[in-house]
Amino acid sequence: MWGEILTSLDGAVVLLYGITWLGYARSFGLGRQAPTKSTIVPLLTALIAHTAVLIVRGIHLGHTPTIGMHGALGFVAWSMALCYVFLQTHLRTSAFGIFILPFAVVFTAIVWLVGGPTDSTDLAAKMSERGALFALHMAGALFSYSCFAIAFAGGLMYVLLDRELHSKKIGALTRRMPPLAKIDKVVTHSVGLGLIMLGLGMVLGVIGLAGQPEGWESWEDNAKVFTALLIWMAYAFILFMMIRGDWRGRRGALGAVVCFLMVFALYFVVNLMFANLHGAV
Amino acid sequence: MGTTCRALYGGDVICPCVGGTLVAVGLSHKTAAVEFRDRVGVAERQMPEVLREWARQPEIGEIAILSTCNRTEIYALLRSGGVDNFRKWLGERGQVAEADRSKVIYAHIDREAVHHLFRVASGLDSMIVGEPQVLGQVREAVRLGRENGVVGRKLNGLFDAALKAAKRARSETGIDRGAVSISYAAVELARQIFGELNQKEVLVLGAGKMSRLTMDNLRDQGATTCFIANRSAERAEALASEYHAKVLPWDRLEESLARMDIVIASTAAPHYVLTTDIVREAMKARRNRPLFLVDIAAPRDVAPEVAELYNVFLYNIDDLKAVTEENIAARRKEMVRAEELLSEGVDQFMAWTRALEAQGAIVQIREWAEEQRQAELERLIRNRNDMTPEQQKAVEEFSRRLMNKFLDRPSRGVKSAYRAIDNTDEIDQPSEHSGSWILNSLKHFFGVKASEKSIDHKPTPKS
Repeated sequence: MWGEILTSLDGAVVLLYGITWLGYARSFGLGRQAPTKSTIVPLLTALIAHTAVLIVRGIHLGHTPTIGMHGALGFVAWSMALCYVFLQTHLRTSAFGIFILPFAVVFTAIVWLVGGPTDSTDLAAKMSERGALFALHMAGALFSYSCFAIAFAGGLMYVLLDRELHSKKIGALTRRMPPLAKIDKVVTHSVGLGLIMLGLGMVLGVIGLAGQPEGWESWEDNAKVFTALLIWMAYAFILFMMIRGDWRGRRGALGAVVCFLMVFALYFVVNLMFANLHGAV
Repeated sequence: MGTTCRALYGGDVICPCVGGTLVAVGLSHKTAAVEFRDRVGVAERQMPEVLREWARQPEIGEIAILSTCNRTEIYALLRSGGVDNFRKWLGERGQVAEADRSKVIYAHIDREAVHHLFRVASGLDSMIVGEPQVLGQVREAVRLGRENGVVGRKLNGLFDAALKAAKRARSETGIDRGAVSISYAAVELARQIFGELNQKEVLVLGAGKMSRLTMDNLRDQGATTCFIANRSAERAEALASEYHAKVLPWDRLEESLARMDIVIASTAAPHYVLTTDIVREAMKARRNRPLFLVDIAAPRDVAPEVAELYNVFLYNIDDLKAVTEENIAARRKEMVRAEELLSEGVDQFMAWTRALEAQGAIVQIREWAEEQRQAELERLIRNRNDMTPEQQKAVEEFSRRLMNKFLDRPSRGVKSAYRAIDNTDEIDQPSEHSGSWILNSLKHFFGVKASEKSIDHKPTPKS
């Protein structure tokens, strides 16, 4: 019974994000730059509903709902929506929604279609034994991926708009996009916040492992640790180049796009296929 | 209450627009040459007198005049008569030959008049589709009418509906999107690159008219720090004081370029003022912060290769012209969607006027019935002087109830008849059982006429 309830709730979340995205698509089509009731209300409704579903799932499973692909994708989608609410409030522009919300729709759709665990698994039980530090380690790392996804969406927007402006063919897309400076700011800040969160996640992971002697023996050959480090370094390089000025604008945006594609590939290839619980398996 | 629309429709027919007929008579850039338009135009200071003069005519219920450089149009609610007086007045004022008047001066009636004002307010009838000034001009026309007491409930409703529909058309379609003038296209591009312009520094090279116009537009959009650089220091000083800008000495141009965000170049120099090397150095110094260069000089001031530099956006006059042409084409495409929205607005307005008129007709029927009831009641009391006050009260109550019962069905009939008048209803030959037919029958049975008791009281012109 719980399985059916959770699946239905997951489906409802997909539907709400879908409706929200349609609202943004309509707003984008009509060329509305500022967010309106028709975009804000569905977004907040979807976010609140998603939060409620995560809480229900967490209470039912007895641990934070961030474990496994199901949990990770659900949490990434939720944190992206959360970040986007702040972004929209701060920047007063709704065009980002059209590029960012598809991630929330796709990720929650995967969660719904795959169907998550209805009872706590051994892996989850082992993870939850590690306590709050581990939960924060997971949340930090996953939150950083949300930031990188937003940077990716922003990067894509920047590249498209920059291309139109340089080609001097100002079309419908240009008229609907936020200014380049605004997009650049979103990319830079998202990369910066993502780096902080990933760094925090890694530090918390290391602290957690320090308390478990067997963990230190296996972490060196753990692909997850290396990929996380690789990703952190790649984004740190982009941010450094952007701040220095050499990669301000298009190059930085392209960097954010390429890096996220790398994150995506590494997440599926390494995290899901080669390792589940690193450091203590 | 029905207006005989002989003069309007060329037949002795009852127009469904009881309470008055809306007309729009005028000339515009589409029908009249500029000299006619100039002569016909009514200046703001003349407007009160002209409006009051028209309002004194008994056949005119309400009136408003829209007068801009592109059009002069009279919007009126006629109680009787036709549009010939308006045609004559416009023709004489514009000195249009009598033979040409039918070509130069157009007249729209009822739905067409409503539709025309909606199109005008939304800029669909403008020379440049979607231009925003006309919205303010329409607002001004109705304001002047209200202030002079010549605009009543119906024209007020019409103009409010037109302004609302125009705003909707503008916000839900792209008819006013994209700059259509070169100077504004540059400003729009600057906004697309930088967003807010209030922290941006603008440099104008040379003193061309277009560059000054662009600087003015940039200022309107928030750019506060503007510099003028000219080979002639005196000319630069003069322009700077005129435009509240700062002077940048010509010999400091290269070193100062790094701090500028927008450069508008329009010198008369026979060679490039900004070469690739100069801009490259500036970009290095500004750590690749975007630089927007607008080259509107002929021959060009900025080397074309500068466009290849990272984060430099270079637009010359041909590029800007292409942008404006594309925007004009895009606006035209959006017209179809805007027309659909306007049609919806026109339907809503027509439904509102019908509801208003139905209310007026019902009031008249009830007033007629009340008069009959009172007369019969008085006669009864007079003839039967033995009636006690209680009996009189009971009879009065009975007669009122009976009257209400009898009028309930005709009242509902009037309402549904007005609702049934759809926009395709034939005015001159209403088909049997159509809204107009039922309405005309009801009006015939109850003797409803055009009267001052209608819901649309004629406003009183202010002296």
